[in-house]
Amino acid sequence: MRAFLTGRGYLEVETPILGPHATPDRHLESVSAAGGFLHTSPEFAMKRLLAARSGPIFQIVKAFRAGESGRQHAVEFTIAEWYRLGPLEGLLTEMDLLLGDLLGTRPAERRTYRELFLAAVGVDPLSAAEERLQTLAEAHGHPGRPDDRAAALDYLFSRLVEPGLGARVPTIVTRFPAPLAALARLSDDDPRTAERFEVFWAGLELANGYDELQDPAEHRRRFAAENRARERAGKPAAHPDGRFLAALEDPGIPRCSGVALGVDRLVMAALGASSLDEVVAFRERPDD
Amino acid sequence: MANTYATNEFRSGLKVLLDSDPCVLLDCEFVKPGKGQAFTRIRYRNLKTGRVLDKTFKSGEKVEAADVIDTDMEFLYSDGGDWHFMDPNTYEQYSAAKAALGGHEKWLLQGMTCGVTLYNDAILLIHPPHFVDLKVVETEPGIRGDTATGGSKNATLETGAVVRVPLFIEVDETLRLDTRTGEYVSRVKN
Repeated sequence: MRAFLTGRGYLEVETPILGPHATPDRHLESVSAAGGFLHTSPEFAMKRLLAARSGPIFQIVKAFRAGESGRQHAVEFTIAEWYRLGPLEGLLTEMDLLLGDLLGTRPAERRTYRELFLAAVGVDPLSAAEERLQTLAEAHGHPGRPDDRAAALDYLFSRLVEPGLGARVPTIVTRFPAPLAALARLSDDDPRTAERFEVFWAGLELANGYDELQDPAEHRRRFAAENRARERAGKPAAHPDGRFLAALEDPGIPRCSGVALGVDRLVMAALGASSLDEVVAFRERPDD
Repeated sequence: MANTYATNEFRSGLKVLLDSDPCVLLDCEFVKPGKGQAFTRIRYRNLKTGRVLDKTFKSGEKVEAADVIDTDMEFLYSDGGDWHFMDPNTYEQYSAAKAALGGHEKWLLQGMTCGVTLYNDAILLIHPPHFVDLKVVETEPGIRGDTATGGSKNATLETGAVVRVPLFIEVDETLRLDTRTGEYVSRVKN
């Protein structure tokens, strides 16, 4: 992976693992340490480097997410994250080449979130009423009523769509619905979708990437929405890194696309393993 | 306050109350799609009905522990309505209704040691030994020397069970039976 990325002009960087800020992501919990928090991904620090005009960069580093433990999840895991300048297309092409290089896969198929969802669930994820999606999610075993549209979509997608992805060739799912945009920009030709993608192969969700949001005001709105959701769920609010917000304002981050890939899962896919236990030598859990 | 387990304590083999019934977890998996919410998906067996079901929990949800214990007991007797067992360590006696026997009553012989699942200190299920040795009390006369043709006939055992046996089996012989399949396994030397 290092050879692939450095060979294509990426600069390897290191950013702090320990910092003063927890992630504001509603579904992630930071591990606290030494009065601060371990990063859940190097995203914000790497974007500060991009704002400082680093050019294309990559990092392979440990990241930490509290409470995540299972066959495909570990509190401590290895993440590979890289950013290149320009819109998503170049990154998607490169991702496909990387998978072919590392896993020997044939060219990936690209499918929009909407076409996959329509085929497997039978309703349009962009236009169906929130009520309808919530009721469907409950009918498919969601515990209680999903909080909102995003929760209902996430559940239905994972239950009904994901099991069929990446069977013969890797599947790159593109154009996620706007409520699942995370930090991706909205599509120029349709504000109901966002330029976010995920890669599925061998029963695993391997990577998640964006055509990166640049607008500082929209960043603030999305962080505020995350924190409102955190408060509703009884979780502490987490204020994003002020220096990251400042860098978004001035000088701003360039138009770029980035992706995070689970390295342990990549090894699982390469070896046909069904659990992280088979590919990680030490799996002591904090509660063991 | 009843004992509870949070989803991060779920392990296969755990006994919990689901739908107000005692259940055993068979498999559990942490799932977290994309950047979405975390869930714990379980497969479990309802110990009352024997049905295997799936259920999804939000991570962090709690379920009540079920007071379920697996132990061994000696079968004493049946009075027709109930079956009576004794804990060999405490000599305490327990009675089980027909539903707890699940059709296995036909294998029980006085003094036999059985597996017992207790729920709230009452018998929930009886598990007979996988193999039991029982005497034939009634069957058609045997056909000597016919050990190869594979023909079979009915035989009534001392517990009242009726099983298919090879043609050469005689009254008063002791047979080994597999209680899981209800099938004849072999003759046992008296």
